[in-house]
Amino acid sequence: MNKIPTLSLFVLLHLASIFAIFPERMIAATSKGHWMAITLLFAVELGVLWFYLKALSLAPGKTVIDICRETMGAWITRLIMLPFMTFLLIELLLLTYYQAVEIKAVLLQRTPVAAISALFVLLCLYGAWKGLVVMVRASMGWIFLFMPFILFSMFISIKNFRFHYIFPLWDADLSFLFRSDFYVGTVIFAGFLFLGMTATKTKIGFGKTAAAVGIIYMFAMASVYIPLLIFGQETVLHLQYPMLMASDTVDLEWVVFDWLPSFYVVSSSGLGVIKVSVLLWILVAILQQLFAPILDRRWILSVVSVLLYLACQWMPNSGTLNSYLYVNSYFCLYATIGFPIIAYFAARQHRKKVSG
Amino acid sequence: MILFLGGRLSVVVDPLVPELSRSVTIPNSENPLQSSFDAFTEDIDTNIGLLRKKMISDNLVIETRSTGTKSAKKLAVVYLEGTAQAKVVQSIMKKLEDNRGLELTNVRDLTRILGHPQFTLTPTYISSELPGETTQELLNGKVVILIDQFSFAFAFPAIVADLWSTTLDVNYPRLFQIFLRFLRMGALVLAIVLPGLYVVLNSVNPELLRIQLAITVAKSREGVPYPSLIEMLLVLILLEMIIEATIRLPKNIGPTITMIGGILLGQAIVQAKLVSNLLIIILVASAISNFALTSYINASGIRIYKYVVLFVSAFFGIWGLEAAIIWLVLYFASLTISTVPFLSVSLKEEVPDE
Repeated sequence: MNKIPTLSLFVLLHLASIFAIFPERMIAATSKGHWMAITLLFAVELGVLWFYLKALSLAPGKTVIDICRETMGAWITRLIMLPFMTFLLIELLLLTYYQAVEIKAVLLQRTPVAAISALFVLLCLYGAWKGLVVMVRASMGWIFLFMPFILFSMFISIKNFRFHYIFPLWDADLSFLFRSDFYVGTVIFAGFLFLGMTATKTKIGFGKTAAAVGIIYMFAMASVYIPLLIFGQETVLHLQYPMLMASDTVDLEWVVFDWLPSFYVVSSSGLGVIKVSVLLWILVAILQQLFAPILDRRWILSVVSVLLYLACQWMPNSGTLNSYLYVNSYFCLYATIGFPIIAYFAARQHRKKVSG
Repeated sequence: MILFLGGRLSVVVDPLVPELSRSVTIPNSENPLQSSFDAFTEDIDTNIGLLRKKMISDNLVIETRSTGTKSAKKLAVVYLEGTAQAKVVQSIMKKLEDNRGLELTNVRDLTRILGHPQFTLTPTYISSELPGETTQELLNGKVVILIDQFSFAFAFPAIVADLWSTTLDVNYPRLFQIFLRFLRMGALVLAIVLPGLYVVLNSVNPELLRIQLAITVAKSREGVPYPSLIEMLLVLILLEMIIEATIRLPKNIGPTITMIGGILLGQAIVQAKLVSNLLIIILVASAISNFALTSYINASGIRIYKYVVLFVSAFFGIWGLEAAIIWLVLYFASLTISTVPFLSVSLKEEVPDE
């Protein structure tokens, strides 16, 4: 794996959350000083990322699963990975359903969700089938194809800003810490998990990754503040897709397209595909390594994809999506904060074992 | 030939062996601008000579070998040591060694011998008739294979940049070269999406367009009796047939087809209300952009893939169009030819791949 494509996949996976779920949760989490909540999240991510990358550099050429298995044994590793896999499973389901509903709502009102999600799952199956290395390589293509759409749909509405909506800037009692919406926002962290899932000799330095996190931080801030500065907190709170509505407030005469939010949906679903494929690949990799080493990876993948598709049909409406998001935030906290720290200590043990 | 008859008498006779190869001439299938005009011939030794003349270098390695059991075929592997990646050279040599028993009579046999996937959307090689172009391919780190009795050189492996860059571009001013390459990249995108986009904007997502434009589009289709997918398919297939018909016809009949095709696809079919005139514009634009790509063979995969885009777009609108493009990107990312990923930027030894 090469460095630049790996980092670009890293950025894309984070952007996928920014283009789904993240902004509305941040807006719901607090009514003032949104930047504090976002900054806190990213500070935590930097810390966790340091643990995760350190764990990987302590045992070069090994995946985090290898590290855990070699220090703690197979059964404890399975136990550790169970909540992690639950997180992946629910996150996959939610993301697929979210994207299918969004595409239906904005672009294809007459097409059933079943058909839209079939194409979506099929694409992700293809991506995961080809493997992580292929997706890392493809991420460069994604950057070239989708970056123009992403930037365009984010920043066209800037002329409608009312800057006084930015106040109040300070939230003295950190009220967002007591809102579950804030913790749902941690799904954005899922973007770094893939770094530890392949055995690679290429070392990804913390400095470069931190720089990538910096870029993502800019996008995250923009994704919350653009709708906020256009509609104000009271209005934006009630919008299901705040970024999408923000891009609907402008009328650009030089664009032949009238329905500008479609650019948002195009970039959002494109990013969704790559995130779901990568998470699907991770889930299948864990399943195969820990639970069914005799089975072929592609069989497991096909079965998981079919289950994902069926579960997607079973979701009654987007209200259920919300309740699952809250449930999943516990697993998410474990998978993105607890697990890297466990991996770090396991890697230290591993090193002692090897050298001692 | 000199015959010695006995002691002092000798007779000079004209050569008995007739010359079986033609001499070096100008290229027949390529039109270079501002470049050398000699082209490869059928004789492999002449071709090697042409390459050697174009490139005087210590690093130029030429290995000749033969393959086939029923009929032997001579081929030559040419590369620049230190420029071509060692692992590429090794993998090609190994395949040639392993499959030395396979017959080699056409180009597809060669790709089979090299172990390349047979159902690829893009060719796994770049073929050229020009020694000048082949020299540039060598300098870019490709491995060139010459086959006896083929007046083309095949450069392996192809990478994505070959879709929009030809090695002859380096003869132009730098700015013009960059302009041309961006133009071809644009042509690539247009060639893939245009027919699909027409169907999307016409029948699935007309609300995407500005209202004035949407009305114009709808008006142009007034009286056309079938859905836009059928309309598009009908005319696209007609166009493919015209292209196919003109390729092999003798030069003195060719213009007839062009004229008939022009009348058919130009005015008559629109006036008969069988298709809309906007469709003809889209069709022509897509055909032009298809042929603006670097070579006929190179663009063939794109030409086929636009039907996939067309069908998926007809069912899923703009989301289908996007999905088709994503699939293409994933496919290209998964393609690896002679150990080199297709989505590489450069093939040279010192620059990392991918």
